[in-house]
Amino acid sequence: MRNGRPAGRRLPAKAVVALVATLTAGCAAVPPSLSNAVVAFGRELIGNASVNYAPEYAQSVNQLLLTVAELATGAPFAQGAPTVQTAANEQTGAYGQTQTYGQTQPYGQQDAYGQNGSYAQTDPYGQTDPYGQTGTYAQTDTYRQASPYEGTPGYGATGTYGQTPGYGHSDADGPARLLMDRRLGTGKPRVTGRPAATPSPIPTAIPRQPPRPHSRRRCWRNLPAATVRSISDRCRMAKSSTMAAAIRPPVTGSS
Amino acid sequence: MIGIDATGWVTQIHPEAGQMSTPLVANQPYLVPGGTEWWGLDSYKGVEHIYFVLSRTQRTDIEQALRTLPVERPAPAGSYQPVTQPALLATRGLVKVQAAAPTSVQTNGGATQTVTPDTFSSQLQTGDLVVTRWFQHQ
Repeated sequence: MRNGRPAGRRLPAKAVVALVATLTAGCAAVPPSLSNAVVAFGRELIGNASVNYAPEYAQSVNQLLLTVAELATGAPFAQGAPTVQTAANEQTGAYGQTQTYGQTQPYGQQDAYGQNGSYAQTDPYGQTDPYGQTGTYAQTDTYRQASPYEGTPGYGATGTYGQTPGYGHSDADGPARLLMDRRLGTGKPRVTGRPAATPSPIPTAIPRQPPRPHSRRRCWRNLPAATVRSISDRCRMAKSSTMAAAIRPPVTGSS
Repeated sequence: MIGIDATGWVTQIHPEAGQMSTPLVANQPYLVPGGTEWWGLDSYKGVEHIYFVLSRTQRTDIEQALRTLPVERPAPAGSYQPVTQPALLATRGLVKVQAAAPTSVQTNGGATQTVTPDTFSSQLQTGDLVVTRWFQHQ
């Protein structure tokens, strides 16, 4: 992180205020379990600081982290001659394994140390939320499969309406179809037409359905633009009539 | 506020050097960095830390530890060795972490960016509240 001036705009006041104003800290009693806590934490950071800058500098960083850790945990840390990592001893893995600042317990194992049940909300793993969002993108493909009406220019133009998905579709459906095939386990993109020799795991017993007689798209097709609106309205009325006829029970007599 | 970048370099974010003994006032907003400055990301990628340390009493020990650190950063030796492991302090005493409503931030270049700040709230009357945040600079 660097400090620049003057360039981008700083964070909104609300962000910082919300953080700072709600923080309180104190020096409470120290849980006994922490008395032997170890500052294993930060050892990689300190070691890299030594490699990147100087051992003396890393020593100062180490002292700072110890001080901050004491404040944060309330536990006094034994200052057992911390050894600052150098490039040589880092390769041997010596740093941090034997120099644990005179303490014996790994710092990160202090599960009993008052998390107040909020650890899951506050730990830095929350910063990985964006990764979880990748699943959302995967669902986009699902939508594409499930919505043949979306983004499929040429729909209905090849006379494949009502066919089993994947057969006779235009090229615009290709990617979606490929994904669906993979999901079904075939692993192969399908080509136009029904496979002759190799039986498909996709059920093919779905009967070909007759084209819908009152589809709006069908009504629009091959008609002059000036007549689209009226024809469309007419189609909609016809479709409604058809549906009503399908729902309405046949009249068998009069009352 | 102490920042440690991916090379292990420590920067005192707030208060600025020379204003160490100035205490924060309760219920007063503070914006860091001050003025027209801003904090950006440099070319050193890796795990970076920001520690928020709040104490009811002046911590001269931390102030002293910060004073021992050099102010000007030299260039890291050769190809730097990035920090890859977060140095975490156990979070405790927290009651609720809540994402506030997204806030729009306009840069000097005219671009608008959205920031969703986190709010840390606690009802502790006594005791400690410790928050550690780190981020992966990629």
